[in-house]
Formats: sequence, structure tokens, C-alpha cells
Amino acid sequence: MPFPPETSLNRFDGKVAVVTGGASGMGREAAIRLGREGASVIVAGLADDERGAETVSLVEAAGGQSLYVGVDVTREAECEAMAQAAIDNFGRLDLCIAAAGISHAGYVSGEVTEGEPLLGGRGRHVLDKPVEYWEKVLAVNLTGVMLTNRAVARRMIDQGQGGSIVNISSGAAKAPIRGMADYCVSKTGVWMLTRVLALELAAHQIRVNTVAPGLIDTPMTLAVTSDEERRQRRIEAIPLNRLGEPADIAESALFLLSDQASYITGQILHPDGGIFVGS
Amino acid sequence: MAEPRPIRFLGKVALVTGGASGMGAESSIRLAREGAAVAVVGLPDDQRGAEVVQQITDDGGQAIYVGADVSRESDCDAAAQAAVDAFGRIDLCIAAAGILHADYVSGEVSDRELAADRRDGFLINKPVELWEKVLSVNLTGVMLTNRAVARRMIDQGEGGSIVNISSGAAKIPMPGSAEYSVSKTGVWMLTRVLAQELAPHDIRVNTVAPGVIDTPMALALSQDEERRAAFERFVPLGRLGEAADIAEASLFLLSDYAGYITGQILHPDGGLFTG
Repeated sequence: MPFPPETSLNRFDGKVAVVTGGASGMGREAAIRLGREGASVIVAGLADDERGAETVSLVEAAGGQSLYVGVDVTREAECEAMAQAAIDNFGRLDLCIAAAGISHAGYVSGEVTEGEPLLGGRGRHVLDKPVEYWEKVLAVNLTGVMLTNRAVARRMIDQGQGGSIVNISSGAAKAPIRGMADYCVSKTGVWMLTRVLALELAAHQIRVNTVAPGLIDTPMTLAVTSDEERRQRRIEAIPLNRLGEPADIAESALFLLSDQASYITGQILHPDGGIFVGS
Repeated sequence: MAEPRPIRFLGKVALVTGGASGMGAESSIRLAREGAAVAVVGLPDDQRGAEVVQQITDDGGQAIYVGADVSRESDCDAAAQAAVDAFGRIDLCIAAAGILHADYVSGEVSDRELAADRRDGFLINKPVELWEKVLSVNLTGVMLTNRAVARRMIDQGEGGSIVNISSGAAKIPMPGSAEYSVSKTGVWMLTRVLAQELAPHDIRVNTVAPGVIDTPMALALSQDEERRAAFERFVPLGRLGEAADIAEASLFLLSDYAGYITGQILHPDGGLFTG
């Protein structure tokens, strides 16, 4: 494994973090690792996602305080309540990872759904895509990140001690994928949103950066990874010759959140095994 | 509060060019603090190299100074071999050697940097020797450094990680400094090609592209209080970068925490070029 799991850099002692998309995948892994390094973590996910309670237990087992907050990130009031939960329960808010996202309009985390776009481009081209699908993906992946960011940023500004935000985008932000216009556009939007916010929030010493993963072994890529032949074909196209793991993304996000990256804002980091180096 | 002492590089051996001062020196010191043995590489007559080694050994770390002109292949090979001879292997490399212009001397401010009129440096007026000098150090020097260490990493068969120091100038053209900007853009493309060529050997290659950092190379700006203050107002995060900012970005990319990152560029620039 790429990481010495016994190593804790203790970069987040006394800090409070909000992680959306925290019930599973890279959000969950980031929450656990934040807890291991001393942070208290609001794990945010859909209200009915039962994996959230398990994530909270894992964060606590790693040494951090944690609380699950149900949130639909497309609703401003819910994002505000989520950020406020950090203040109410842990007294402050310093860090945020916005990892909530969907690959297509019918996406249900942990399931391989009909019309799964990663299945060889069977997703609908723009000409055939119902506008509701398009709007749904943009609402979660782009507007949801914006609402999350500003809910936490408002509280960081009130605190007056800076802060650090990482938004999860995707390699799809720079590599167009047929059948996934809504997803690709939303992830490119996250990247531009990050840069604008970085400029707007720098005066408050709040840094905003993006992590744009390649193909990572999470519930979102089940359609690809659960089929052995397809999995192998994808791996052969990755220069470092493996799928990414949630830990790869979590550690990039933690680096950008930490003081080790205190001069980095408005940037994008691609833990993608080199898959898009040639594109 | 005691500074935490993470140990990411225990048992590793690193080679750092441009190691006698600035971000190369700071990276060397931090690598050693986290357990790496370091071959600090710089010009043979640079007295500051011995001080960096002394500081590392005083702190309980292992280091040697190796004099090298990175524009010469035999020097780069000898430097990489010196790391192997002294410490038995080579796992990590930071290629930080670079010059701002052809007559750059680290730690000094030349008339060229103080000139109010930069048109003397415009390409139509620039002697080709000045262009060639900068490319030979900043670009060919990085290439020669990279392949000297990569060959030994391949022989070892246990992978490796390389970070090349580029600059924000890689994406922002600077009138009067074409050779510098071009050399730094070249480093970025070199990194991407090498990342693909070396991936089968599990050797990762990435670039750190700093903004304006408070090192000997930025003396002309940093020692002039008025210019410095004006510039700091211009940086979104409101300060010059420190050598430690670049060192920590480099150490992250060198470490196993970045084990899925190759062929990438990271800009610790305080948001300077975000717009």
C-alpha cells in the first residue's frame, strides 16, 4: 500500500472540518484521516444514507470526534445548517472538503444504475439528454459545491482566523467524455469556481483548491471496477498501472488543507496515476 | 507547541540540486529532518553548501555536498553516483538548480535586475549566448539531472520520485526574460514526457512552479522595501512565498502520500497567477 497507515502527521489538532459526500468513498476516507490527525469532523451526506453512521464510527476509532449531518447540498438552507452544526457541536469551523457528487442524474451511491454512463459511453449524448438530467447533475456537482463553500466560508470569515477548502472535481474537468456532458461541465465549473473563490476569499486568509481525481476505486466507479475485464482494460491505460484508492485522494486533499500548503490557493491537483498527462 | 516531526523519508536517499541556498537548501534540510540522507548539489565553489551540510549533520541528519555544473552530463552522472557511493542508493530527487538570467550569481543583485528599462533584454537585442546559457542550466540541466538519477533508480528496481522546480513564468510570459520563461515551460513539458516514460518503472515525476519566493533569486525585489510592499499587495495571500512553502510542496510530491500523482504541476504562488 502506498501509505504508511501508522504515520500520523498531526496536522489538524484542534481543527474542525466539514466533509460532504462523507458517507462513502473518498469523502469517508478523508474524514477518517482528518480524524486521525486530530480534527473533529462533521460527516455530511444524504439523510437516509446508513453508511454515514459507520463513517462516524470509523472517524472516532481513528481518534477524532465526529457527527453525521444529513444534507442535500442543492439546498442552501441545508448547507447553512450543516456548517452551523460544526459551530454548534465543535465550536468552530476551519476546514472543508466538498466531495459530494453524482456521475449522472440517476446515480445512487453504491449501485450500478441503468444508463450508467461509464459503461462504454451508453450515457446519453447532449442531443438526447433530458434537460432535467442536465439540471440535476449541475445542481449537485456545481451549485452544491458553491453552496457548501459559501456556507463554510461565511463562518470562517466570522471567526477571523482563515481557513482552507478543497473541492473535489475530476479528470473529466479537462477530458471531455461522450455521454457525460453534464458531469464534465459540472466538474470544469468546480475548477473555475475554485479559482474565483480563491481570489475572493484570499483577503480573509481562506485558501480554496481543487483535487481532480482520475479513476478511483469508489462506489461511483463500480460500473467499471466490478467488471474484471473492463477493470483490467482501464488499468492498462493508466501509466502508474493501478486504479487510484480513496486514500490517494484523501491525502492530496489533506495536504492542500494543511499548513504545509499555506502558500497554495486557486490550484488544481490531479491524483490520476498519469492518465491525463498526455491530454 | 513543539513542531511535529513527521517521518516520511526514513531510509531514503535524496539528491537536491541548487541545494546550497534558497528552496533547494530548505528542501535538503527538511528531507534530512524526515529521515532522508541527502546529497546536496551545487556549484563547486559555493561556500554556502558546506553550511547546509553542517546544519543537517548538527541536527542529527546525514548529508554530503557535491559540486556540479548541471549543464554537464558527466557532472550530473558523478553527482548521482556520489549519492549512491555515500549512501548506498537513490530514491528521491529535487532539481532546483536554476538561474534568472545568463550572468546570474546567487546572492547578488545584478545591474540587469535593477534596470528600469527592460528593453535591453528583449529578444531582438539579446545575444544568443545569453539565451543558450539559461536554457543549458534551467532546462538541459534538469533533463541531465533527471536521467542521471532515473537510470540509477531503474537499476535499483524499487521506483522513485522526482520533483523539478519550474516557475510561474512557465505560464506567464515575461518581457525581457524570454529565455527564463521558455526554460521553465520546457521543464513542465519535460516533466510530463518523463512521467510517461518512467511510469513503468514506478518512478513519478512532478513539477513545482513557485510564485515569487523570498530567496536569493528574488533579492532585487525583496530587499527594496517599497517594491516589496507594493508586490505583496498584489499577491492575493498578501505575502512573498518562503522557501519552506516550496520545500513542503516538493516533499509532499516526493512522498508516498502522493503515490498516485505523476506528470503534474503544483503552483505555490499565493494565488498570484490564479487570475
